[in-house]
Amino acid sequence: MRITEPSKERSVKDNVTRNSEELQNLLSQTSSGKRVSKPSDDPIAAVKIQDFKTTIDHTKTLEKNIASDQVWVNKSEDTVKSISDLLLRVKTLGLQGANDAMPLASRQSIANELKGITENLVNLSNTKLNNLYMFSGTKTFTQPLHFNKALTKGSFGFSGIYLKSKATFLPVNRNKPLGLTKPSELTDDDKDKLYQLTFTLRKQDPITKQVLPLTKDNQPITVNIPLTGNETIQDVIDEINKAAIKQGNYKENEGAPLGFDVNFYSKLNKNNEFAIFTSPEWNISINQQDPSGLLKKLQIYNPSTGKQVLDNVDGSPDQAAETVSSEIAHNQEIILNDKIKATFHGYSNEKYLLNVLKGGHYGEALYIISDDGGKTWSEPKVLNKKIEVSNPDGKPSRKLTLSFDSEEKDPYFMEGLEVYFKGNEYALYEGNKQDKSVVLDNNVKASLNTNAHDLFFAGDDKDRLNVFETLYGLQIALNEDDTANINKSLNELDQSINQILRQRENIAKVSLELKNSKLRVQQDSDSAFKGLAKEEDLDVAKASMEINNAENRHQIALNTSAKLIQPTLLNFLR
Amino acid sequence: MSTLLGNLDIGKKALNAAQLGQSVTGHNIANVNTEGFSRQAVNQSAAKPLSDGRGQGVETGNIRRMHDIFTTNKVIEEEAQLGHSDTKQSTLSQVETIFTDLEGTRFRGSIQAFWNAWQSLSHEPESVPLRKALAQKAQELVQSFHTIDNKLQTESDNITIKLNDTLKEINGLSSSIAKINGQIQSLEHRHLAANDLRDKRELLLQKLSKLLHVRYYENKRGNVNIEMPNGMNLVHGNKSNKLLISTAGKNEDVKILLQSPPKVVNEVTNSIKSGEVKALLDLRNMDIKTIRKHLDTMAIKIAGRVNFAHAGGTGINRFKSTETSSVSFTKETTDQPLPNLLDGKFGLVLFDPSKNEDKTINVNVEAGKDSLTSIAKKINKAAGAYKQPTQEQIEQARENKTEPPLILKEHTPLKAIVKDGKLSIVSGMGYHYIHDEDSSNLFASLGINTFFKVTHNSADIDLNEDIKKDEMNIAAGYGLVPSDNTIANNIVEAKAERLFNQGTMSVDDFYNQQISDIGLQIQNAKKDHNNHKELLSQYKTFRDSVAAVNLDEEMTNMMKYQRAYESSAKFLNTIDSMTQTLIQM
Repeated sequence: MRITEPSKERSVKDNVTRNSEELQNLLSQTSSGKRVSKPSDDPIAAVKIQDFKTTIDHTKTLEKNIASDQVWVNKSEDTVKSISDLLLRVKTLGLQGANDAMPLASRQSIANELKGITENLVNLSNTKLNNLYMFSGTKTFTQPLHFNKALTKGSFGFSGIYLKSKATFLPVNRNKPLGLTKPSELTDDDKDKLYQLTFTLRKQDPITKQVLPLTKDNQPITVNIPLTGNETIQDVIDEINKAAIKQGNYKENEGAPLGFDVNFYSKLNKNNEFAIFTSPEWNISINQQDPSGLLKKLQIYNPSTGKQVLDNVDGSPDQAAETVSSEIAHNQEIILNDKIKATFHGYSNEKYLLNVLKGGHYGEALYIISDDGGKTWSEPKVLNKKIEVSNPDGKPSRKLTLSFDSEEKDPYFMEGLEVYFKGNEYALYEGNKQDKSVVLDNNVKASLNTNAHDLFFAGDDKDRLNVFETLYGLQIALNEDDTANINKSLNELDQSINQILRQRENIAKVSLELKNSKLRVQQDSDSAFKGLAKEEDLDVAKASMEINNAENRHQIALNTSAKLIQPTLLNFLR
Repeated sequence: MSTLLGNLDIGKKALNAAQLGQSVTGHNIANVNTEGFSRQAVNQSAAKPLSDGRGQGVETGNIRRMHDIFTTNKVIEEEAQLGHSDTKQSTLSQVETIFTDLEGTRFRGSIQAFWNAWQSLSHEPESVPLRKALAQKAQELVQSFHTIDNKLQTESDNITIKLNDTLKEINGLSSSIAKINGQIQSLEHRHLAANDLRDKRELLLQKLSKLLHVRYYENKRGNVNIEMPNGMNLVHGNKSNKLLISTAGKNEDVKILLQSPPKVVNEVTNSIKSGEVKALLDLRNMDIKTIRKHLDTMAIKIAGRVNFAHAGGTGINRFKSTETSSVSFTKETTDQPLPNLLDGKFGLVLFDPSKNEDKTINVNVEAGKDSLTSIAKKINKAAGAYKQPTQEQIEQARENKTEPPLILKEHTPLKAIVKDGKLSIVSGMGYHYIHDEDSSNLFASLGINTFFKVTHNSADIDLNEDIKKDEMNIAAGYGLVPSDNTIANNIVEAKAERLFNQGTMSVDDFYNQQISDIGLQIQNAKKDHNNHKELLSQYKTFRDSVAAVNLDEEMTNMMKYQRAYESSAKFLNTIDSMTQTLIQM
């Protein structure tokens, strides 16, 4: 075949280029140390490399996650161990105390120590880690246990109503018609004018009780209450209170503790006397014209002076009205665990707000209602299940809403509401029972948390075991020198201790699970690294051999090329 | 007698022949490096002898062009294949660096970092710094999607420009070929040799073939007519037609048009089978498009899956007072059934902070029936946001057999409004709210309380505005319970879920398929390229063995003709002195 200049030159170019290309590839491989730097180098290996890198990424993160889980579980384990140790100490003390030979004084001192231990238990269960409560289930911002140790004193007050510390209600026939007489000279047409109760309200200085002068802003308010003459005393009371509300002084005021401010209201007082009470800023005076004898029948006392408005025409002695304090009773000390009755007047289809002013955690607020003036009372009902801890710094806390479902369209006046707070001798669990479960390697799940409910309360039914109840009972039994109850409490204590031990086992299991998972993750990471190196890294020995070969070939090719293109006939012609 | 003078003639012819041979040799040597040059050779034959058989010397015939049509056609054919595989291999390699992660944009790495951040959050769902880290990783992921999308778009635009340039080059070549056709025809018409023009034409044809695979044939008049593979004329005689590129939008295909005057324009895109143009077309209209489609699928599915898990959750102590959907609907579609709904229900829990009460509003959703406006109505009804209609309104409605008008109260704890095609939920009167579980996919499909905005492609994937403003809004669980990690665990599971390819592939599988696809394609293109390069080289060598110049040969020819010239001159000299002798007798 004819070999021509162009084909010689092409041959040299192509072959030398091919060798240079090969050398260049080898150079980029050896200088980066990687055999595969883009998918086209080796697509199958590229995919494997991706997967290995992903696994390495994933396992690195997972190791960190498991490490932080282990910190949590370890602290959990330690705390529960301390709790368990405390309970064992309680058992020891209890056994000592169960000995009949023990004198009362020693038993009492044991009871004292138990008190301190109980406090420790509560503190331990409220342990925090990283500012999260450990034993609250998943509600880790919420303190799990509230213990009512400090709640022997607290206070609450109402505004807008009148609080008596121990009010009792006398049976009163308030339903007997008043039987007002109709003056002879008045006709039936004037009937509604006839029986009319008129008040005038004026502002007064609350402290000095002086009536303030009239100004443009300070005008007297007149209240007219028409009556038909057939009302009973109860009806009159209703009418007056209706007027009080309709008159517009009723304000639903969120800032006010009760949610409404009435300026006056009426009721029968302690002595079965009809009285009208006002708030301290108002002075009430009653229109004294009384052709029908209404005022006489009502025996109205002027609350500002405490004196009866009209002389008693029946001749009963002028009774000094009780010092009806219409002041607002704030911050009155009350003793909890007592049924403190607060009298409270109002309408049943309105909402009443009760303000808890100060104190610790109150447990459940219950209320009982009487609507027959105190003869019968309803069953205690829970005021609000969600009890919020009020601020210990004395600022008013959240309001508790009391509302009734009344089937009657018109409000009816209801008396005899009692509100009392039942103190909580035991601890209240405020967390939830949700597991915090996390995913470890290979989709294994572990549940990291233990909650105080599982530690201290067994089961959900009424017979549930409550360690604090047991401890309280034990303290009482010791203080009362009651060996039988001491032993009973000790039996309950055994069950509680077993419960704690079971929880400890669970935690230990989880701890082991985490440890094993971490090991497996580390192994996965190691094998991923190895696999990655195998696929991605250059076999340097092999590469340097290849480089040698390529280099040789390159040199020979260059040599031969020179021999091919250089000499022509021209060199040899003269 | 005239034989002596006749010899002069022989001498003269010999000299001419030698001169011609020499000049042809010189022409060959001069053109040793000319691309596409076919060497020329002189046809010498003995001149027609006299009637008595005596020779009359040498006669130079024509100048032959040494040329093999078979191998030339093979070369032209192979140029097209080589152009195709060369361009394919080099442009795909550029795309490869955009999309892959081995040393490049860390796309896969940013996806894994995103899952890792959710995983860490699932172990510590109440953590604030982990939320910040998650938001950051999500932002990086969004950024990766955008970057790749942009780069692919740039690549696509570059290819369009390159196509344009290539077509211009093709047009130049075909018009040159047409011109040469005319020149060759006029020369050969007059029986003159058009060797160099033919070489030139062949070279142009070879260059054209590399760019665009065409059919060609030479007709009786010596014109080479060039046709597109579908038979339309590119060059006919001395006229050529232009190829144009149609303008195309961002996601549209590019079309190649053939303009035959006066004004006929035909699309020829699908008839192009090989050449650089084909490689560029394929890359722009098929390969890059496919990659972008797959990228979009990844963005949509990842965002959608995360949103589905996230939509009913609550952040850390984060109540909402107003939210607006990130998708907007047109006037017509606000009343049409919403897509992507499931039969189920969703809840919103209202809180009055002063009273510490909460009230749950539950709304049932019917897939395929509920529209944006009907959902808003349902929410408002459940929240008691409508005024009670007056008696007259009720009466009138009863008469007209319609519903009484629904008027929103001025102050209501919660209301839902449709404005500018978006759904907004607004709380008032001091209330605020949180979301409850949503089994109807409503909030996820509207982009309310979601992690990502509703995503349609990889260019618009983005974090929800609420989360951009405040990472505390990231929900790891439900109901404001701080250590509830249900949502985070759910999202961690999504990494391995088979979301792609009709439920057969996970995110990782899908991505792996993309890179192995590209890698294999490039490997094949490289192999192709090498094969064709070898073949072309072989064919060129075969062609050159007939047509190209060998300097040694030409040297020899040079000496040959020089000797012949010297000898002829000597001969003439001898005849001259013989004639001189005769004259001097």
